[in-house]
Amino acid sequence: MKNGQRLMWIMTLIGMIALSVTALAGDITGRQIIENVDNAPVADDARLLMTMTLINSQGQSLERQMWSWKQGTTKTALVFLAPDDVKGTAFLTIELPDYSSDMWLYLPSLGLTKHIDADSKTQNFMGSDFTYDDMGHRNMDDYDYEILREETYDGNHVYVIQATPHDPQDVGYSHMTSWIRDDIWKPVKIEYYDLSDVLEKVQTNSEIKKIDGYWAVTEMTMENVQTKHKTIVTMTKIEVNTGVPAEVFTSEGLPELLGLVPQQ
Amino acid sequence: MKKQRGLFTTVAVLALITVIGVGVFGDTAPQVRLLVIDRTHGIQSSLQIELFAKAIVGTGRFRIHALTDIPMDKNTGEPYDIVVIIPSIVEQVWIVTADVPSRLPQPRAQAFHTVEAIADKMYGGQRSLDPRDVVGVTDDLFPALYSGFLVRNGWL
Repeated sequence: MKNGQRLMWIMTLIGMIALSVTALAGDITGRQIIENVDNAPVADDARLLMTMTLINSQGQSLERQMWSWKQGTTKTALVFLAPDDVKGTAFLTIELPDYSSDMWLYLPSLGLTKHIDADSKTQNFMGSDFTYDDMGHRNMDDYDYEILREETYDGNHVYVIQATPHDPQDVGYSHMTSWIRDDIWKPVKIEYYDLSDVLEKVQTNSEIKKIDGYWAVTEMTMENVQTKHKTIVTMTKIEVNTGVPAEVFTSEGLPELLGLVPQQ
Repeated sequence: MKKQRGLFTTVAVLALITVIGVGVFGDTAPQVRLLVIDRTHGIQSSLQIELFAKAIVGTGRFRIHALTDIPMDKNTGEPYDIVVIIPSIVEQVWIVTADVPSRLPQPRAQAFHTVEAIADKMYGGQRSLDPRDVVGVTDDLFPALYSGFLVRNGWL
């Protein structure tokens, strides 16, 4: 081998090593992306006024309004304000360290506070297209993650990640595909596939706003493409770090929630 | 004299209004004591019970209390006129009374039929979240057995 050829060969080798090092530095796994989503900063507490619109396949709609209190990502209390047939009904969910949930429901006409079974998590939330699990916090360790591709979605760079649960029966889905913005680590779209691996629901987080330094989804739509039923949730008011009293997140506090709703 | 007559008329009118008022509000005051025993544990089934209870309260004729299980101890308070049990697994609503409806005194029999009609509407209708059959003491063994048990313990 001549000296010139040898030099060329060494330079090519160095170039290849340099390229592979650069590629490694930019590598991120599906699991790390989900960890970034999970570790995105959240307010200590928040108060939200939410409107939930249920739209059936004939286009008929039903609107529900609720006031919700959150503490981090583990405690949520909410009370229905409208319509009258659900007004005062209150719901509390506390996520335990093992990711199971302690759920309580207050029924005002009966004056009854009752414990709810954990298997209700895969049921639809108050007739909407969201299950309690869809709205809650999932255990990362219960899924395998794969990056399907990177692309641009609504002008933002996103990672498209597939999450496959270890126990699909428990979760109610065979897998989920999420489009995740890497600038704020928020999902902008999630597809849910049923246990037969057929697309069942599409969640679109159509509005994401920065509220007092925290990114929050302020409008989301869940459409069941099989039943053509759709639910739109809009946060019409969000206040963060107001110091929500601890008794809001107790089963004993549920009957009092309606009285704690700030005057509009 | 004229002043005294005026005062007397005013007092008489006020007394009459009070008597009429007591009569009117006395009639609309809740009379039937209803105990709802909600043995369900799901959210949808619980919300259905809330809607059912709201419809009953809306008639203005019932005073409702609720428990989450069949009481095993003796009732130390006033007995209930009607007990509605919503079982957790069996897809039925049991309406339990101290006797078969045809032998109940008239206001209680009427209340039984009101509860039955509301349960039928709330659980059998198209909008029901949790469809169930409505059965009373004469339709099924369980309400009849619970009737005897609840009567013995002073709940009915």
